Amino acid sequence: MAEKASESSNSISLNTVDGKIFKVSPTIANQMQTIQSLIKAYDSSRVISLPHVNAFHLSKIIEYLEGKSATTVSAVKEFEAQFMKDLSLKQLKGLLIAVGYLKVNELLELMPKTVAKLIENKSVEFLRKFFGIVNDFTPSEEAKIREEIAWAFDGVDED
Amino acid sequence: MPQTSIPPPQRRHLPPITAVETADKISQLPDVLLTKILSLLPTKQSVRTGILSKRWRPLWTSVPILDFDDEIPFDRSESVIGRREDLKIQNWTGFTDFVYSVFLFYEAEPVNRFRLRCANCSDSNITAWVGQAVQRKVKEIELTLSLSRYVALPRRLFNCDTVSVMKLNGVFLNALISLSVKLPRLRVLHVGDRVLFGCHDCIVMLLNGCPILEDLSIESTYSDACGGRVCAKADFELNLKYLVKAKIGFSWKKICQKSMFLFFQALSNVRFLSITHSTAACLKYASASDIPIFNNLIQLEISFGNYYWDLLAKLLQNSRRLETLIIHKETQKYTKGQDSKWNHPLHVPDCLLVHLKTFCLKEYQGWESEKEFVGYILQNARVLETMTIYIASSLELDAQLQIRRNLSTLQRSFQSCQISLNLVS
Repeated sequence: MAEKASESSNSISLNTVDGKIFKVSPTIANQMQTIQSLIKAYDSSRVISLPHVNAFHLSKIIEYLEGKSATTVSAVKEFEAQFMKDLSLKQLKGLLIAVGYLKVNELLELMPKTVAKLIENKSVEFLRKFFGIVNDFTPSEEAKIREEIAWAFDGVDED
Repeated sequence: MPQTSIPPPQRRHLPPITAVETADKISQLPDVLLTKILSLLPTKQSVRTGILSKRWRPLWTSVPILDFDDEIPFDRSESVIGRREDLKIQNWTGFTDFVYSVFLFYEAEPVNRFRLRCANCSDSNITAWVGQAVQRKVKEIELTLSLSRYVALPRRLFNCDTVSVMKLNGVFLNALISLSVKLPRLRVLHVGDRVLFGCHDCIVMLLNGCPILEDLSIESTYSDACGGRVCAKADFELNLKYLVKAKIGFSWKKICQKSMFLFFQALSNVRFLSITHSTAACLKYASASDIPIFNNLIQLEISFGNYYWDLLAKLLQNSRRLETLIIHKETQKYTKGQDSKWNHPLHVPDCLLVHLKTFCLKEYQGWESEKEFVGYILQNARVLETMTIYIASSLELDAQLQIRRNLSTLQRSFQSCQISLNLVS
């Protein structure tokens, strides 16, 4: 009981870029390294504004942090697999940025694995599109680099 | 309420974020996150990302993982064998050049993991690359060489004070005998089934240089040249006090048996022990005093070609805290007429009375000795929770059904036993 009361009075308010306020427990907040350092640096009763995180992404991060505390290793694995499966590609990319910004360590381990699987053996064009990269090489520069690392392009499907 | 705004993260080459929609901003992921993603790809693929843009160009050089594999790319349009051979040679030199140029541009240190899988490479190249990895303070090294010959490894690999995980396959360890081994940080050592060593002297030398080893797996059964000085005399000391997990799969010649028992005694601290059928076949000669007291052992996995029930009884007697026992009968390794009988030990082993929770027997064939042993477990393992028996799939369906009936009857005859019996065919 006492613990619950202190938990709610300690809860931390986070304001997303689209203006939604989330109240989270210190346990959850402390798993986002960026917020943890802010709580240390400032008065924790303030509302912390997150200029790069929207409500959807923050709600997913909270959902993950609450859900991964399952009891068994296999239950956690199952939860993580489902969590990643539920995200569309667009959501995945957005969430990755939010996670990188808030420094949620466990998601920083999990999400790159999903991304690596998605981009494995993919063509240069696919990768540029996936990561939103504008090719700023001149055609001759690109040809030169391609020649330098020719072996790396052996056996690739240029789809 | 006053608001505290987080300063935008430090980014290189990037304009400040203004729009709400983040999906388009994937290009602004910080380098550290991109490097993390690249570290999960084979090096060939991470190098390829150097062509994406100027920002991406240097990224791969700071990825702390090097993962090389010289597999020949599958050529769908080509079916002429001669052409494929050409490709093979072309690919091989291409691969060699590629690895050297990666090292030329590469900047990360320490290298967290260096993995090399290759089927077509000269020894001097492999030596040079392993040397590079050692020089760059490698932490984990994994060599899977499937060349037509065994490759000797450079001395510096065995005198490396950064490496903590070493997994070797397709190599030749003879040279160790004339080298000193000093691997002060090595925690995990896996010696695969395609590793050649002249004598177990080499293994003893190697292990003596690993003071904090926790996880050991030796699967090479090669022993033709056994009978080296250390091995034959059996006067070495081996200190493996931090060892937690061991998988032992080699066989020793009869002249070196004493050494084998000495080696086996050095495993006494392990919590998890796995013994393969070839090692079991050597250990069957062990007397009770040759088997150490396993004070910490909680899981024993043992494979048999022929059952050596006396050996098993001795192991159970000396493993007082054993919670899990897994027996694997390798039917194809069976030689006729050598199977022994299960004799009830004088005292019921302590582990059965108070600790054993899980028992599993794979490839059960319904032999008398098997039935006797399973019955003994059912009767004496007081805290057993799960018994799983895999009935040999090579048996006729009728025989399998008969075994099921027999085992169920056996279980019912020990009513006090609250266990779940799983029969798997």
